[in-house]
Amino acid sequence: MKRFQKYTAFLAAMVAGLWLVSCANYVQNVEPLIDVIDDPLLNSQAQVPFLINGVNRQLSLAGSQMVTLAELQSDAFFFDTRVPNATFPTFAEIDACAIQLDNNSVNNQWGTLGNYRFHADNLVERALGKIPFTNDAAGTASRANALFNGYLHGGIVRYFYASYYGLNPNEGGGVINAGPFVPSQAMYDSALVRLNLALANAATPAQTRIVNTWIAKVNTAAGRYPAARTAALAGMVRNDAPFTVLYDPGTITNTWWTDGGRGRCQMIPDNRFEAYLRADSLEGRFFPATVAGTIINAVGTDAEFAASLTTRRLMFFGPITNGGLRFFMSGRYPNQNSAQVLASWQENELILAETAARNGDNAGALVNVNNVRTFHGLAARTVTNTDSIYIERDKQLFAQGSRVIDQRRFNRWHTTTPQSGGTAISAWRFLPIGLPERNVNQNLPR
Amino acid sequence: MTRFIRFSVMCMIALCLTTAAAFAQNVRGKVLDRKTGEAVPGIRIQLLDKDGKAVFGTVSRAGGLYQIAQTVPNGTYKLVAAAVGYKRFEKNVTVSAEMSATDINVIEDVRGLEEVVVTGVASRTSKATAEVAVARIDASNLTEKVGYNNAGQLISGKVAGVTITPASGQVGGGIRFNVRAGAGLFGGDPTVFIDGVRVASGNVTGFGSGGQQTSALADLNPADIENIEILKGAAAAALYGPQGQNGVVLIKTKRGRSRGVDEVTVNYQGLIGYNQNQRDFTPDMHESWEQANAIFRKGAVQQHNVSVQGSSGVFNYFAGFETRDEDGFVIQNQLNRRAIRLNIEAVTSKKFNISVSANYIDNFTSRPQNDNNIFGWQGNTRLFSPYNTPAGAAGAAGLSTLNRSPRSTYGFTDSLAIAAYESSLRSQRIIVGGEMNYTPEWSFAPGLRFRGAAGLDARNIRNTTYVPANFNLSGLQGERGIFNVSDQRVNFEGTIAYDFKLMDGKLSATSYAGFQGWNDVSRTSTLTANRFPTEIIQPIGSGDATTRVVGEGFSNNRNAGWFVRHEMNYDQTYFLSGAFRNDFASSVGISAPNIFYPQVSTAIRLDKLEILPESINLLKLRAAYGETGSLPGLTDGKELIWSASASPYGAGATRNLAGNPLIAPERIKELEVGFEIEFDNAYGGEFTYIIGSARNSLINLPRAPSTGLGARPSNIGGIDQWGFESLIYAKPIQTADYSLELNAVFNFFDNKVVDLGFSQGGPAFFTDGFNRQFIVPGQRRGQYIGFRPVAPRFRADGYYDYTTGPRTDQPGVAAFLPTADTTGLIRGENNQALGYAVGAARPLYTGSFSVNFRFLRDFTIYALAEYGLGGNNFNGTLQFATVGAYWNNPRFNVLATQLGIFGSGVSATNGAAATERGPAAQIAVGRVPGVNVLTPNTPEYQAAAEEFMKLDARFAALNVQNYTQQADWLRIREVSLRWNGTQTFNDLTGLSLKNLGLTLTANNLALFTNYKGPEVELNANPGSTVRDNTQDFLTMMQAKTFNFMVSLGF
Repeated sequence: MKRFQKYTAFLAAMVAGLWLVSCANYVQNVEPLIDVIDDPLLNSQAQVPFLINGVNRQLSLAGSQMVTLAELQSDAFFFDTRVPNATFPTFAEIDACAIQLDNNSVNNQWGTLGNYRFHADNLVERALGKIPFTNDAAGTASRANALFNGYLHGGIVRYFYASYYGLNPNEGGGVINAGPFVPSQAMYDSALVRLNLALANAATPAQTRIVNTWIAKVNTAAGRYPAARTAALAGMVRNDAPFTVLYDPGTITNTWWTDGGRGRCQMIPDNRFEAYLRADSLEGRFFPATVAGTIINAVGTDAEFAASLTTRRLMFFGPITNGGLRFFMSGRYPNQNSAQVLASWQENELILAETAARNGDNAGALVNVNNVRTFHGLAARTVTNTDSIYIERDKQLFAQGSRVIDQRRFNRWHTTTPQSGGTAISAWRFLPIGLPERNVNQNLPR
Repeated sequence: MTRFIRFSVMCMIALCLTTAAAFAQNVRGKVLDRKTGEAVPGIRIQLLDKDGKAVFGTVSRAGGLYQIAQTVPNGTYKLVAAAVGYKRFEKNVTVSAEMSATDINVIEDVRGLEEVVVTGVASRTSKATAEVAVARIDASNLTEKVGYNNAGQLISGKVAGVTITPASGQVGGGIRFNVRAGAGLFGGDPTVFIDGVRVASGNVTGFGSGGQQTSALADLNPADIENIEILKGAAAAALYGPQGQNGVVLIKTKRGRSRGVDEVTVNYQGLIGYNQNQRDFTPDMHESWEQANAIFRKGAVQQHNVSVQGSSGVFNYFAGFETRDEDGFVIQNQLNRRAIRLNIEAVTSKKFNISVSANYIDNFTSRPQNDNNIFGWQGNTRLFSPYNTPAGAAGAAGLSTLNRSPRSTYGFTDSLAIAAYESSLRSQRIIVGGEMNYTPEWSFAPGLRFRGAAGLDARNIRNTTYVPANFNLSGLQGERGIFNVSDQRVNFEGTIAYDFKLMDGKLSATSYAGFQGWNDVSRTSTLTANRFPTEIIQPIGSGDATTRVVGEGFSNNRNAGWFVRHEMNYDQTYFLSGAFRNDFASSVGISAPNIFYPQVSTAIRLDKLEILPESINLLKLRAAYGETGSLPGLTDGKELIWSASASPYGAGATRNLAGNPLIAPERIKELEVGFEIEFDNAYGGEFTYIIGSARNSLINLPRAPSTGLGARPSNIGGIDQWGFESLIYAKPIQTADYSLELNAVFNFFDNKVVDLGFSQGGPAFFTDGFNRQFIVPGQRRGQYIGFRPVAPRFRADGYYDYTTGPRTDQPGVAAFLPTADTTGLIRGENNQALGYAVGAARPLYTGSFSVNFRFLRDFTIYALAEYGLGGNNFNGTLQFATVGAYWNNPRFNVLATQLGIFGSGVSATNGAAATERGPAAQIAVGRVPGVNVLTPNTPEYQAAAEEFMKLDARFAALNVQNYTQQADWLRIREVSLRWNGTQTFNDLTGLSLKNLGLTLTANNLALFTNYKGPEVELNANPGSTVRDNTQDFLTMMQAKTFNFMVSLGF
């Protein structure tokens, strides 16, 4: 008996020992994952285009959504449940500037900006120290390309933070990598550092002009008009293609399609845009639209519409009457693949005009304004000033995310006394940094 | 002389033996039920020799008669009678020429105390000797009495310590197991084995159709199940390793049974019935109560089961076919299931047996969008007030269509569009398992046993969605989606057991060593397209090519563990076991994480010590301690992983996951102590107290979104859990014509979060994303926490100041009322004021009552009621229907009218002043006809204001207090009336049917609750951070089901 017990114990120990060793091998002998890439594999010059695509993809995710939320918060668009399919309570809050900290629309976009910032900064970090670029022209160009894109997008995302988000209703700014709150001015500084580094890595004159226009935009938003003018003077010029964000139906669609367009209309332009068209029919076009149940049938893919898109500043579907509301729908980005404009030579011209006017040079400003107007077939102005430039920007930069910044710059806010948390507060002039960040980031004040 | 005497004695003994052999006898008699006096056929009778070996045997026949066919030599034997459902009968008998017929009086085993149950990955014993609390459900008995819709219903309310919560009342909907207090910081569902096959039992992934989900267990035919055993918690399930942390559910399907060799039994069970809504909406719930009720229907249920079972001596077999067609009580919801089962058991000898079970299922489920979804029937009928609904043309199911107008029924989606939406899920699945037992009887190693088992759960799931082109949901002009899943889950295990006895056989011991492993492979592919040219075409290729989105996924995950266990029992009275297990899991990029989990348990049968009154036939004290826990996921240990994602710029590198190379397995500990008692073989109970804890919980720690890195798998925090489960039963009446069985279950479980690792970088608290339910140290998991409206504010003219809202007890905000009572204010680890406790999410107290009354011999009434007390639900549906523009909370509307704040005071844009752009958004839909505005500065006005502020749904900080409602409930879960006509029919006709039964059953017959929503048992989408999520947003109520069932066996 004892002999057998010894034998059994020995056998059990052998089995256990073998299995112990083989357990680890067995569980690790799995088929490799096919849909993921180990981080070090991306530290290759050959992967730079793939990495840049990744950063651009993040811009696609962030770009049009950022603009739609900004336009909704501004006085350019509003939310009304009488518009078929306008249902989001979160949009109602943004429109009323009475935004709760758990607003999903705001918080989701905040998360998207975090991803965008991470991808842009990661590209720079990788290009500066991890990717072994070849010591030849191709390597130099690849490194510059990586840095140009990383810095440019790093600058853009910081511009978004500084311009659209805030810690308090009147305190703009953002957060980088779970750090402390960075007020708007400091965030604009951070954006400018990156845009200037992008400038240093620009490969073509066109890239240089685009970055300069971005620098002008940032300085304008920051209220630094001389610096804005300096940059704008080296910025985009007539017939330069606009800086756009790309979309397509199969991957990422322009959110105007589902937020304020033919896919689903949850935000509609303010009535003043109709007045603009009535005052001057050359400002834009209305194309027919009707309501049938939950559907707004809007015609707008024909050649005439397409042609109008390139020449007219304001494009609408409607007017439509529904539930006692007469409204019209934006036609600026009519399709899922419509490219979102973020910067253009026209904006650059208007920055030049405004900075000239702010410097007392209304005549110089008039030249810039008329450069834009005549391009669109509009009559040239005879006089201009900052107030008229404010309106000119309203029309020219329609649905480009500038209006909310202009309203703050010109101190022309449109809402009063909303409430939050059970008390009247100032209207949120920025989108609030919400609970997902505040609950986790220990650097934020409570 | 001495030698002579010794020789003489031996000669005499030899002579006696020879003589005895010459006078060998036939042993015969009758088996009777001791209480009823009825003859009992089917009892296995054996004669054991002095070594305990069975030397002769037979089975009692009709009339209870038995006779051992062989001639039994005279001598002393132990007569043993045993059968499932009866306690083991033992009696020493002396076989001699004078031996008369020996009658055997068997006693019913009311609670199955002597049935073999699984108490660990390798060990089996009887419940009467188990060292842990074992729950066993006699499913085959239940399915004869009640027509069950799914396997989850078989468990609900039947055992102590386990409750089942459906995700939705829709047919095929997912379920959640609540085992005791839940294991880790976030809990989870138990692992489910069917005939030894570790099956996919979670909710099926695919296109969302609301929060209802689809349960993998919906594939299983309840009528196939023989029994269900549940190992609850770490103390019992430690030897299942990481599979056991939330308990283990062991489902055993039916095996071949026969009263004799070559006897074949054919059974048919047919069921027809219907599902209907549990409750109707009433005018106090929603303004749109009539519209909400209009979506309901009576959904037909039809099921047919045919099975054949028998034995050929060596082979026992069971073959079954099932067809079930079930319509839910909501339009479009249906299930069609076809299943074939074949179970074969080969018993070649006592040394060797092998069994194989195979099940093929083809299960089709159609799921309309519902539950937590504004695009479904509920979202469009329960959120909007219908006040300004214009008349429209009749649409689907008599509903109005094209009636889209602001704040009206079908305000999100047209009813015809909802009706046209198709979402189906087809699961084709094979579950095959095999088990082999071999007892070699090697002379050099007596007592050695081998056991091996393996299983495969392979399934292909095709999930499709379709919206015709003429319905413009999100402007897509038709949309088609196809999601395919191909899963293969293989598990295997092997055990060597060695039985031996010491101390003259008084001490029995068994040592086990074994291994267990599994290999899960999952492949998914997705294809979607939209913009279809016409509604008369559906293939995905017809969609606009530029809109096509494709995706592919793959994962392969393995786990393996080995274990050693030693069991001892002394004289079947004292029991002691100890074990440990070592587990490994696959991990990409780091070495395989592994961990040791120990287990120890003991029990003592006091009734064996002869110190108790004879009426106490069982009193067992037991205690067990065990540890389990999750192992890190496949990619959790990787610092940074990327993927390729398509974009308009081409595929780009996208951060996929930022893991944690330091991730380690978690450890969950549990101690349970308890007892079982039974007296007079008819009354008894069991009680188990548990105390447990989880440390180093494995959780995805949310990172600040500004990092761009997503959640980080982390080991942080801990939770303590405690509570008890208890069960009492009685069978006070048992005669030939009458019997009465009573059962009651009562459970109490609670927990407290003790740490979130804040000082090590952990969070100050977890929330559900809406700051309604929290996981915060010092509080119960998933506790509702929020601030209270304390006092209304009034304008200078005395009217309620709707714009500013009420004063609150939230420190630090302008609305804070300095005189407010802030006692009980809960703060996060960072000192942030979170609010005041509203209450627990899940019920603290759960239980059930059941009664089974047989009368006039052939009739049985069975009823089961289940309850939950001390829970709370957030009525998100009502909150949503109240806020802003929806106006669908009747009481809110009355108060708003009384306060005079309808009209321009309350705007569609969430309380902001009516927009100055365009026509005023606000219209007076809130004004209730016939209700007058009260006079400001009167007590009535003050009272209305105070009530109104508690219904104000605009402020996130106040919503938890305002819309969290008590959720105590009592549900009449099952009621049935059965006529067992077998004997009557046979007596009348002279035929010999084996089974004839007619049964009327009702499930969820009635619900009594103080919760104001339609469904009180909530199981919100587990996508939330907080698992105990009982937030009700458009949860579809459970079905009330009526069935008529026919059972026939021949």
